[in-house]
Amino acid sequence: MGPALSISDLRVTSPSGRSLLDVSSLNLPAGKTMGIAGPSGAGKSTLLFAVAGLIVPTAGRIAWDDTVITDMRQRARTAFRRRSVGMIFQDFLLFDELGAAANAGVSALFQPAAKRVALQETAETHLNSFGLSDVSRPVASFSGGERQRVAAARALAGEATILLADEPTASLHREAADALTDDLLDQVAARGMTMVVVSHDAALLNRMDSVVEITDGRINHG
Amino acid sequence: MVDLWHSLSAPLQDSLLLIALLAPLGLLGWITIAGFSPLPLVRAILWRFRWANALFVSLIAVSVGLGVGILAQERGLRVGTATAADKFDLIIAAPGSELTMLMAAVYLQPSNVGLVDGQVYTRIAEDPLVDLAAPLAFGDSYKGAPVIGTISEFVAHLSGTLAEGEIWQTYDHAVIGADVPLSIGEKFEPAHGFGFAVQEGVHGHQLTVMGVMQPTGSPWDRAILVPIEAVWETHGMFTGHAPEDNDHTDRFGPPFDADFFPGTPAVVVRAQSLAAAYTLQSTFARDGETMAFFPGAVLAGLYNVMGDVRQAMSLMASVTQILVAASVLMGLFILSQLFQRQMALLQALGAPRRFVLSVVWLYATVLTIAGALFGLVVGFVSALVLSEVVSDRTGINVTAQIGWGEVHLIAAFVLGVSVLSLVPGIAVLRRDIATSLRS
Ligand SMILES: Nc1ncnc2c1ncn2[C@@H]1O[C@H](COP(=O)(O)OP(=O)(O)OP(=O)(O)O)[C@@H](O)[C@H]1O
Ligand SMILES: [Mg+2]
Repeated sequence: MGPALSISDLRVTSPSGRSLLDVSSLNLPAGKTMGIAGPSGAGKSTLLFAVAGLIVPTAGRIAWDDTVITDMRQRARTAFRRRSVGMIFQDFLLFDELGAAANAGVSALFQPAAKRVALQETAETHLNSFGLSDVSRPVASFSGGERQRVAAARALAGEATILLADEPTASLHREAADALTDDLLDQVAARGMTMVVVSHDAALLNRMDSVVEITDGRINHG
Repeated sequence: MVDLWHSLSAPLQDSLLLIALLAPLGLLGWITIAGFSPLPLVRAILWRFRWANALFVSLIAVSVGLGVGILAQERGLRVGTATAADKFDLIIAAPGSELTMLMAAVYLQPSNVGLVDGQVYTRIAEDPLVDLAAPLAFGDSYKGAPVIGTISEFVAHLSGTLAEGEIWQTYDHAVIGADVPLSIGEKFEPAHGFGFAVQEGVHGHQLTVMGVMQPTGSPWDRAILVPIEAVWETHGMFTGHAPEDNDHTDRFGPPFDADFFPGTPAVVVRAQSLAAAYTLQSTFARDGETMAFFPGAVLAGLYNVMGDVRQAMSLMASVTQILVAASVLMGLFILSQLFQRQMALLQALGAPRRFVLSVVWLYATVLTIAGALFGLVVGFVSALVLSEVVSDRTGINVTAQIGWGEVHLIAAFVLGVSVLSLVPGIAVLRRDIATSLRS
């Protein structure tokens, strides 16, 4: 079962001093899914980065169950992501020269040897279920939708209990978007993952346990 | 410990030094990489930035190549000059500069030197410690090849048996060095003087090639050897033998008649033994009329001076290597900028810092090793070309060989750069992950 997320008095400021995020309280129970909506530049991706421990907030507290990531040093936050977080980035962030399988299983390169084979197999299983069969061609030549599915397979390849997804269906046609949504939610349900997804896709948001909207870095609980 | 080291054979010392240089490299690699497999990512980065990488490898190759080339060339020159002087145990000449005489007698670089007269020559030739006392006569040339008068015993001393043909039977015969572009039976007319000072057709005297010497790896391979009597005669002097009436047979070699001996600039002496050579050297060195020296000793002195130059050069080479290492470091910083985003991504995916370090380190070390190996090739080829040029200009057989010194230089360079390449690796880790991801 995925951990519960609790955020309190969170403030993220840009290097120039502009306030990017100001969240007094946000909670997501263990194993639940939450959608984040809002206009462009509202701070959705910033919030996702913050709960992944990728940015250090100016103030406030972010905890996954008992793990208070805002109290941890970078090394510990990285280890936390390695063990617990699967992430789909807004611009996918793949290794262009590697094939789909190598990208989806890239964590195998630094995971303990005992986990490598299983991780690579899981990665390829997800690629197949997402309808990607050409797993060795460099992803540089992939379409946006194909890249999106590779990014999703990478997020699910490990043993993550938290899934963070930034616009996971933005590059897909309706049917493909729905298929990917089905697959992601199947996995989330089967593994009891806690999921935070940023999206404009109403069909996806409708299937979340809860949805919040962000404008100008502030949350309007909906 | 020092004694133990000195008791080891040279190749063993060299191998141990190489191992001592490579072991830390292996250890460093193990410490950074153990437990990870960074290779697929390194391969991807190598391919992605292939032009920048190729440029980088060439930079290293050229600088390493220059260092290697200079070292190899300098050694080749030393070995070549020493080999060329091998057959010249002891030279006795009129007092003057030993170096000038060495250049004239061994390397056939003509210059004006004093002459040893008949009395002195006879004294040398008749000394019981002397095995061979060969007088030389310089001054003529044919198409750039020096024509040198000497005695047939000296031809035998240089060449052993002839490669082809036979020794001279008359004053019109010649024996040529292995690289002279003439063949047996060919006739030619030597000119007086050498180089720019050649006066064509002054002698009006045709010679026939009778024999070809074995190659000696010295400038003598390009010389034409003739009976010394013939040189004297064409210059209107006595032949070293008392003129006899109605004598039409040519007389060769020692004993010469001191009264009719026109003089020789240099006598190449082969002594009965090494001890005899030292005795002869001190006898004729103390004699006010002559100087006597071992070409090997003069060369050793020369190499000493060259050694100082070499040290200066290798200091310069080291400074260059340090500068190269610095620019390599700069280059690595710039290159690591190119894949900053991917390294941030790895950390975002949970990769330990040591894994990111292992990717950057392995990438840099692969480039450095590739550059160093190319550099070895570049150095070898440039030394080969340079040797060819030097051999061509001087006739001294200079061979380029890569020695342990160069291998050590390269190993030290690779080790140094691979230690340094941890720095851009650490720099990559210090940059903010989120900033790099959004860039
Ligand atoms: N490192 C940074 N320095 C300065 N400003 C930043 C930084 N990172 C993000 N921002 C700003 O913060 C605001 C929120 O950015 P964010 O990426 O979170 O928006 P978003 O809600 O994900 O928008 P979109 O829907 O377009 O992806 C934007 O105005 C962005 O320019
Ligand atoms: Mg965004």
